[in-house]
Amino acid sequence: MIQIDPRSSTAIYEQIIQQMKELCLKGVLKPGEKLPSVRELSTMIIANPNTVSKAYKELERQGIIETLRGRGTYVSENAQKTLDEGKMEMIKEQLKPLIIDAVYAGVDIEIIHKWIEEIRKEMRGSSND
Amino acid sequence: MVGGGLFEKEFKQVRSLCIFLFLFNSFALPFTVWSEYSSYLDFLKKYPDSNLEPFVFQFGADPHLLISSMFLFFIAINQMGTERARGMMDFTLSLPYKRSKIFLVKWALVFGIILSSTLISFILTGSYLEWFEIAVSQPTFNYYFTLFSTLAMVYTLTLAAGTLTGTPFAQGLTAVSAAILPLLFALVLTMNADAFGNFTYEEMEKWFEFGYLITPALQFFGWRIFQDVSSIYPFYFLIPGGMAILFFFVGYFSFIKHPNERNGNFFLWKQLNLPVQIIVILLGVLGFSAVGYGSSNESFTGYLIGAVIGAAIGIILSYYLIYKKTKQA
Amino acid sequence: MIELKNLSKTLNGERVLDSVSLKLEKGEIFGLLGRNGSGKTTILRLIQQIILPDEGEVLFENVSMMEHPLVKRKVVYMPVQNPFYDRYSYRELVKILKSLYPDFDVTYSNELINRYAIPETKKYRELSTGLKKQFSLIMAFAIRPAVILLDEPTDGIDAVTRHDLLQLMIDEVAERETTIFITSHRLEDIERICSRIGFLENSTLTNVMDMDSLKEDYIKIQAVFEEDVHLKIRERKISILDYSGVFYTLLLQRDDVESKNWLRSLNPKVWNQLPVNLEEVFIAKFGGKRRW
Repeated sequence: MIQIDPRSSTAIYEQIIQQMKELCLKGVLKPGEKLPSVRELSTMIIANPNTVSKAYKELERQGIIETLRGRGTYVSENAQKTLDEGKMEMIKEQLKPLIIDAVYAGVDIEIIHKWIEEIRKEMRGSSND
Repeated sequence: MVGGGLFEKEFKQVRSLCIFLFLFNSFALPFTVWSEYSSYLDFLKKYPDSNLEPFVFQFGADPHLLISSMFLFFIAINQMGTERARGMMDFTLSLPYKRSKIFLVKWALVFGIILSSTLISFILTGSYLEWFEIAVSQPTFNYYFTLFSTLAMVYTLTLAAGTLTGTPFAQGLTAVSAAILPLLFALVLTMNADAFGNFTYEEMEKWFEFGYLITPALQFFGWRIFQDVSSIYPFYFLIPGGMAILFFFVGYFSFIKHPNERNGNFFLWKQLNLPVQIIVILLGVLGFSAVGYGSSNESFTGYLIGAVIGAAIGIILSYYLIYKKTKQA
Repeated sequence: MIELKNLSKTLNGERVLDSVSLKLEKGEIFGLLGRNGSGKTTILRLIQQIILPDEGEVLFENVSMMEHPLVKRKVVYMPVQNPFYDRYSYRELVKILKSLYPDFDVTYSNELINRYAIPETKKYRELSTGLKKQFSLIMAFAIRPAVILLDEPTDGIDAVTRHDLLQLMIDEVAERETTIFITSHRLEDIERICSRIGFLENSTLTNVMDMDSLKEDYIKIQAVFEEDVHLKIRERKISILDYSGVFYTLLLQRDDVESKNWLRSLNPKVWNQLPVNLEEVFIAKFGGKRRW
């Protein structure tokens, strides 16, 4: 289901959060679907149970999953909506350093706008997303 | 019983040796008595007119004590030195038992075997002798008591040596050396006294005897030199027993505190290195100087040459044994 | 759960441990890192009372382990090699361990032995290295300890067995909140499973931190400088993880604003701040005196 890379520069609990979100976005994990328990997931991916617990708590805080006492952890009904908003914010944060680097490298902001148009044209040509 | 698991584990380790010891110590002597007496009776039957002296069974004329002692010697080495050399002592010390208990269990297991097998042997031999009214060289009980305390002493000495040393070889060497040390000193001192002073033969013999008596390994020379020490010194049988108790406490307290380092050192307690080295050198000097003196027709030069040789040998020997480390598992 | 208080030990004239203190909580996995021969095994042996400390003590739930060795029913040590096991098979060893440790769970050990298909009648010394470690770990867990000390449990074995061993450890902690104290050179495994780590350097325990903090406390800076600043950087004692030509990878503590500003003052053409991983921190710490 998810794979973690301990060598990565991203903390493991971050990786778990990100990948869980991705799975929800892609529709692999549907709203209302039951998630593995902390114990099950930590044994599956071989990560410290506290780390998994931390990731689950954060996902719950962000409203993406919810824990029902005595029954387990499930994907929230409104997970999709929360995700989309979060994703937007994330993409903006990802763009920032790229654009800063580009400017430092001497790329004109106008050229960046042009690139955006090019990419949009390419996307229109390949799929309807 | 608390500690039952520990007994089981210890027994598994020395099982074969213990079984051999038990069987031998229980049955060898009764068998020997029966066999000698039977041969005597057979001979009488064949040659009824021969003027044979009445049969007297000689206690101590057989190597039984030596053989049983050797078993005990190796059992003790197995329990301490070998266990340490193989790296298994770590496991033993990691178990949920006090060190004092671990030592006690090791000791009690073998002591129990000594006691029970000697008892069986005593009962068998004693009843046989009583039943056939056979004469004996010394009271059966005296012999068996001395036997029992000597065996206990040999075992406890070797076990204690194992709590002081780091390798099986060191353990064996230390045990044997300690066993003959008083005798060696007595020998060497009387030889030197002879060189220096004018002591009477009786005086020197007294010192020699004293050293001899407090030598743990006495019984092994006993059957050649003193056939029955206990008839001359009625309280002699207390000495090996007392020594066994002494060695037990040495081993007990040493085991509780010993530094269990894996470095193949001769002695576990580095405080022992220097004193022992001094003793070895001293013995070397005194011994060789006396020999030098005697063989050079009582000249002082001979004495000195001997002393130098003795010192050199003592230094080299002690250096190589004590300070060089053997590879550990 | 288990507390080390000011442990000091001199071995062969060398002061291996100098006043080491540490507290381990229930259910945590603590990774002890250090170079070979730095004293990691010595700490484990001291905790297990195989050797005795020169100073300090070890407490299990506030009870001195030296004075109450019975608590060792709850503390198990798995050394790199276990010569005691050599001549026994699984079945024989179960009998022995069950009599030494009353809480030994035979059902559980049978279950695990079957799960990992370990031969029950072969003697321990006849097993491969991987199987030996698996065997030892199973025995250790079957004793049902509260604390387990593991000395390089996943070093030197194949990927499949390693995966099984790590999984077993995680399962044990998740299910029973067992505390695990582990030493290893497999930094990747440490990064995966440990909640907290510490470094043993110069006979002291340093930089004890949460695994997450590692990535928070240290940053990696990739920079390109116009001039040759190599000597200057070394003089400032900033860790150089790597360099080729003018491209430098440096390691800084996140709150070391001073060094960061100084580097910025050298006018780098490229400047990237990235998180680090454990191996980089380890090498920076212990290989620091190396000249690149």
